[in-house]
Amino acid sequence: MTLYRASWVSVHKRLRLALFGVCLVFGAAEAAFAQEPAVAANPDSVDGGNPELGKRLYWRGITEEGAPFHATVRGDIQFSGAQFSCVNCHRPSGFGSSEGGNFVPPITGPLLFDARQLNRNRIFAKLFQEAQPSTFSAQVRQPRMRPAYTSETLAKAIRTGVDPAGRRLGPIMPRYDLGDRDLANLIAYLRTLSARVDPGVDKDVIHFATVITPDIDPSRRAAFLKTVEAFFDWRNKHTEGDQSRPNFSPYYRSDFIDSYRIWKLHIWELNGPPKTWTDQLRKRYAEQPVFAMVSGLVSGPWSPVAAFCNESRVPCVFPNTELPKPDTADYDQTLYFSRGLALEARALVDHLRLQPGMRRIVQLSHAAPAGAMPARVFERAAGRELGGIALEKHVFADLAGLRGLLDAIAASPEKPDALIVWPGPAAADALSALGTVSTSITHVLLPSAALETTLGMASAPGGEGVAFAYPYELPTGYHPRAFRVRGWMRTRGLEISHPRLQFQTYYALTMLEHGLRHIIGDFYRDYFVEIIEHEAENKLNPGTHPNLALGPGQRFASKGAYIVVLDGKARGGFKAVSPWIVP
Amino acid sequence: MKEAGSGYTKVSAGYKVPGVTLRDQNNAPVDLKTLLAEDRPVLLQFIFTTCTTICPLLSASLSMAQPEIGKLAANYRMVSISIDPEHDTPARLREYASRNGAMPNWLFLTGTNQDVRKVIKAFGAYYQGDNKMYHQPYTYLRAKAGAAWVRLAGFPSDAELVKEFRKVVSLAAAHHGHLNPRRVR
Repeated sequence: MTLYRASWVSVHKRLRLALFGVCLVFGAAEAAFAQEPAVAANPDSVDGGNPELGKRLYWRGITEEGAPFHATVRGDIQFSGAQFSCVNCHRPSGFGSSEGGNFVPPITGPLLFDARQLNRNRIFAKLFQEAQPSTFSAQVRQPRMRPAYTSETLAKAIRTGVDPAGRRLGPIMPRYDLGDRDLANLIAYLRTLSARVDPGVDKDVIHFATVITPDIDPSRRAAFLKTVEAFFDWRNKHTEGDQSRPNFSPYYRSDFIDSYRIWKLHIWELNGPPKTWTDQLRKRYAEQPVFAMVSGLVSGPWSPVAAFCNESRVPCVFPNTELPKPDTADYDQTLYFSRGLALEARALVDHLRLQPGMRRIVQLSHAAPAGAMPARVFERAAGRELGGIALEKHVFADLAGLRGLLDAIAASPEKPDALIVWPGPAAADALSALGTVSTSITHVLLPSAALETTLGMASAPGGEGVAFAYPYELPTGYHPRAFRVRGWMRTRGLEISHPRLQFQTYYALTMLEHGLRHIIGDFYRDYFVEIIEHEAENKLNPGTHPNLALGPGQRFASKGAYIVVLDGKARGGFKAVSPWIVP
Repeated sequence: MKEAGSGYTKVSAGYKVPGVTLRDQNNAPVDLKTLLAEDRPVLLQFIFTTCTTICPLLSASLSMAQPEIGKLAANYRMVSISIDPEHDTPARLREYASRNGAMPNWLFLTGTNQDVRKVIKAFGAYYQGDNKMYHQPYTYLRAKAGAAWVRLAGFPSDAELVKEFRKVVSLAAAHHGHLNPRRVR
């Protein structure tokens, strides 16, 4: 421009200016290259990657060479793959996340490698079902149309932050310093990410299973099943009502009509010993794949069920179990209320740590998993945290065995400072067997299952020293949602005979409902679990625990326990003698 | 209050620190009032270790800024308080600290749910629906004990964070600690 305007300038000067202009252009180009790493010269170089290595990069930020990647965000904040990686924001499903007013758009294979299409259903939940600031809604509403990504344009976007429409990606999307091989691997993985709808979903029906193991008290079983069936029935009546009126549109529901499914419940009754359960589940699943397992009622260890869920990648949403898989990892498929008896054992150790005069502890445990597992956890935690205190361990197989052990303690002049009993399946018998022994020992500690049996007894055994681990909300806790849940049950004519079991079950079903409501038509299990992780904390706690909350990858919604003692004057017949202990 | 052309906003305010005892990543008790009454510059954030979108960035920004902040004020203190305290045990915070290359001046705190809620409320960082997933990306800066806090909302770049910190400490030096909140620009 300068050249043409300056028509009076001599030819010499023009030439010099022209050269200077060319230099400027080259300079700019150089600068641009310096900022934006050169995209591979060979167009095929970011194709043909190894999706497994790409997955490792996506999840753990590790390059093909085994080192963390390097990246930059907000222009100059450098970080490495050891600090965080793709999965943090884009999540295991690739459907993205929303947090603190920041919207991370979906990057699943089918969506990346197709031209951007406006789909209001996909952003509906983000717009209307989340408490986010207006700047967030504005981000979500931006159309940001672009053509389908190719491997090359995707590589460019990841490196330079510019999409194929020439727009800059959001400011919190880092720019990655990745080599061709790593990009090829990552892109190969992204092509597979949520590329296929998960099993268990037909055109009109979505299948769920709930698992029931043998040896369940018939009244508990009935209360559990009636709650699940009433919920399914209620949901399906809503769905049928909406589907029967073709042009209805209350609250935009007609927009979602294609994502409506009738919920089909499959009750998977297991039999035989726990070691055969995984196989039984495999067979049931082969006959009828389900999208997820919801709630469940288990006597015995959850591990065989968890093994099935993990290998088949079937989410298991809040089963009623006291024996979660001991080595549960982040992102396992089962979401639990708490660590159950393991948590109780840890809480007892924490409680005893603060008691004065503790020298000798005796632990009696039933040989069944509900006795052996917490005993093992207690022993390990006590070894770590109760230094200098002697721990004596005895195992019993039946009531006679327990009586013999208790008699020996009663006969001995040397009483232990604390007696821990893990009665396993024999909670009621164990309590009556305790009899007079408990009055001569300062601390007699039992799991919460024994408390519930005690409360059902006409006269509770034990002296003042008898205390229980209690990983639940106290009777004095206030949870508005509890009124709603009780009202819902009464309206359906459902007898509330086992409040905690039924309320926990209701919570599990609520999570199912909310999860499905948010994923709308995107039936991907990872996405569904991500929604539950996000929703668990949203004031849906029916009052069973002081606080229910998950986070990304977290698998235990409640993390602590009280130590409680019987007190006829207290609401519910017992009161806490410890703060909420989070071991 | 919006800074032109940047990804964050800035306000200045005084916060009344509640009297709570938290625990640091080494499981040592930390009285928050005493900690924040130390006469040294403080940078404070609320985070949790399994957070998806905003905490990794918040912590990365502190991590990156450590050397520059150290040059401006060798006795600086960084504090990251977990808003998911029951999950974020000292051991988890320790792991998170090492992932973020935290130097010794950077404390990671956890505590009981109630105590942490008190701190969140005291710092005006309360989030919608009591759901931590809706928490906001805040970085709080303070020059010395008793001085006003500057709260950055959003994601300043490294240069911007260092610039804001420099302003906070140099203003405090100029005003001998009698900081008028309205004069913070």
